Amino acid sequence: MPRGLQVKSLRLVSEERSSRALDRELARRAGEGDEAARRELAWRLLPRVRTTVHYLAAGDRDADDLVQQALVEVLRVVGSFRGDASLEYWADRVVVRTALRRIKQRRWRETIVRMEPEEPGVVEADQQRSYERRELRRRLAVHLDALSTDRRVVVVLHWVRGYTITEIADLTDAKLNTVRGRLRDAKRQLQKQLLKDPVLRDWAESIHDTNQ
Amino acid sequence: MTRTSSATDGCRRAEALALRDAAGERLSEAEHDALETHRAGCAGCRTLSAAAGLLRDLDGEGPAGPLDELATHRMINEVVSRLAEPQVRPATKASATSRVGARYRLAAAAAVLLLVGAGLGVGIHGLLRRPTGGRASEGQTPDLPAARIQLSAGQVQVNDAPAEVGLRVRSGQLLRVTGGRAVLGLPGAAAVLVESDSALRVDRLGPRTTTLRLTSGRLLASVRPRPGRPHFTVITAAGRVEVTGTVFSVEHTPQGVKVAVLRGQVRVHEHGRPSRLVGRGLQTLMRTATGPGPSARREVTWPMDPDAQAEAWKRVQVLDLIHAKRAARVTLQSRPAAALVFVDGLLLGQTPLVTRLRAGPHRIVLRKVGHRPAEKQLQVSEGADSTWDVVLVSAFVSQRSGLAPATGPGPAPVATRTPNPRNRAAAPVAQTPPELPPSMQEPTPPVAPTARSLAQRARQQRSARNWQGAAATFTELIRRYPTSGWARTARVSLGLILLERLGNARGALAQFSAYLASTSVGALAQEASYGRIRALRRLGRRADEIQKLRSFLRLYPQAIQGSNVRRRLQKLGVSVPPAAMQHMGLGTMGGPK
Repeated sequence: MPRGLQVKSLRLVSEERSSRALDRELARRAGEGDEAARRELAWRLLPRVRTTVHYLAAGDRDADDLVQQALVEVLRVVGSFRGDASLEYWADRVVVRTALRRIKQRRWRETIVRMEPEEPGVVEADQQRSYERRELRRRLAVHLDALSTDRRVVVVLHWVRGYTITEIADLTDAKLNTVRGRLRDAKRQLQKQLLKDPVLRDWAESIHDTNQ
Repeated sequence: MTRTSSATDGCRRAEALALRDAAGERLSEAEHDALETHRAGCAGCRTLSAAAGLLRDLDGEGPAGPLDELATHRMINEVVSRLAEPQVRPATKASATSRVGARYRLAAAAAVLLLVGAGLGVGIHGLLRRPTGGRASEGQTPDLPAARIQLSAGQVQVNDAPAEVGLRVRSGQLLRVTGGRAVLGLPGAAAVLVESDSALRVDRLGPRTTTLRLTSGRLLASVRPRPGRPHFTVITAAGRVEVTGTVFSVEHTPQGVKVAVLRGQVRVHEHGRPSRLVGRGLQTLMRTATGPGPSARREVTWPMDPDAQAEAWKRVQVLDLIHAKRAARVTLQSRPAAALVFVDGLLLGQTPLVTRLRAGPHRIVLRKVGHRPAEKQLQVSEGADSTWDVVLVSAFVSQRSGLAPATGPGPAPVATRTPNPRNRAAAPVAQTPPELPPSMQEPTPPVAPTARSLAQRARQQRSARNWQGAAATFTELIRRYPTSGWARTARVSLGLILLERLGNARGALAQFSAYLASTSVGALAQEASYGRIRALRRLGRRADEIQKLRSFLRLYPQAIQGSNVRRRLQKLGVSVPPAAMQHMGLGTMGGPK
């Protein structure tokens, strides 16, 4: 490895270590009940927790309550964070377990309310794209909702968070082959569904045409 | 040729490569090329790959869209305050299992006892459905979860006897509020704000289930989420409302019982109709047997008016302020009485007022028409009760003599944090000496006011109908903190004042447009859109107005202003699609056909 790259990577490792140390200190303070530390962690983790939970909950209007519950759980046990992995990874583990416990406990299908799409209407050009993407994500969330909870969790963690199969197995306490099978089955099911959705199919084609 | 089936050999090979990639293996360049080549020719794999890309790196941009700043603040406050409470149950798998096991054992024991007592043929099904312990045992157990009065302003009575803060309310008792309001803290971290002229009977108070019966008036309930079965029920003359965790209001109106949901969702069981779910930001009407017949409104649920929503959120903030674990009792009195009490900018009620307040610093302002406002910074410490008794100075006398409001005779403060040096020195208001503790004197504006304090000041000026002052303060807020959430909401408030009170349609249009440019999905977007239309109308810009009217109908087909917008479009000679068509236009979602 060239010397410059080696120095750079060593610096990155060093920065990562110091960042972990800072996170550990922050987690320790939050675990001891320091309200400022808790707030700082809540601000930092809320967007991540909310996105993950909303996809796991698949369009449930009560999902923000579940977000709160997951965040409370994260902050309640944050004192046990040792810095072996990143704080985000550690938090995802707590969030996934809390969300799954809650999702499996409730009479889930009954409470799901499909979200209405938004109409873009006459809006500024830069907002138009944002509307379109949000609408596409809503459509995709409906397709994710059609998956079983186990399959949905694997797809969300892989697509939204970019976790590998090994990491997902660790996060969900499942075997590697089980996760691999769930991901494969989920993709097959989604592929069939997406091909029947004219909006998403046309959008994918338009991306393809643009890239050609 | 484009292949659409996922069952081809190429798809299987691509799937295997994608799984290896997902497992963290490094694919060779040739394998990458093979994957890309396959995707280029296969619509199914291409769509799947595009969908995966759509979901990547989305913090704050999930299917529900980003959370605005106020909602974020509120959510984090809620999380932090819940952490301050003692943990009820550890969330481990083992304890969950043992809890379930214990519940079943208790339920079985209760069922056996009841079966022996009541005979084999009576109500087996009902007994099995009854929660652990049953209602009869609740009445006999001394240490049951209690409901307690946490705010008492005006006439608050429990079973026709005056109710003080801290009074325990039991099952079967009736809480009646006349000319004031009350807050009732309930088991399971739930709380209910009962408004004036309301009657609420506590039907059932159990460790798992709470049932209230609202016979008249209105309430706002904040219930913590709880998985599983509904545990909180409000019964009315027209039906019942069940929740597991949400914030909602129930109100008796001449048309029926109105249920409005601010957060989460509730299930409404109206007499004689199938039950329905009412989601966040929506409201519904349950008709009573004695009420008028079916109304002209065809929708089962419809969005809340933004003003009503904003007002309801203020009431939720009042609940947050009072229903806290770490709190202390605060007594506020004034002479003359019936002064409005604002705590941290929120209207709590009128003096005399006794309440619990969350521990921490609070700014208390008493206002009465014809009198100078009295203001005080109060540091509330957990368990340390305090009293503030103040003589409000007439505005006329105050202007002439420059006197600040004086602390008058009355009970001495219990806590040392509220000194009362004028104690027992009853004197005519105009002769009250001006030597007052610094905390009681008229506050001087801070050198660099915070966004929050500016917003509060502007709101107070608006409440006092000081439109020029409010507009100036909102403008200052926007100038000082242009990127804050406070400034964003201030733009809508300022726009409304400019449009409705100061006749400055051009300025109002600029404010509404600025708000909509900053956020298209904010809580006040509908209000701002409608304000922009009104401003354009005042300015006589017909073409722009028509464009925005159409846009409004597309964006908010169920808006309460919808009928006005359609009428205006018709008046301008534009064909308007009927409301039903609008809904059909939006109803194309729902997954694959």
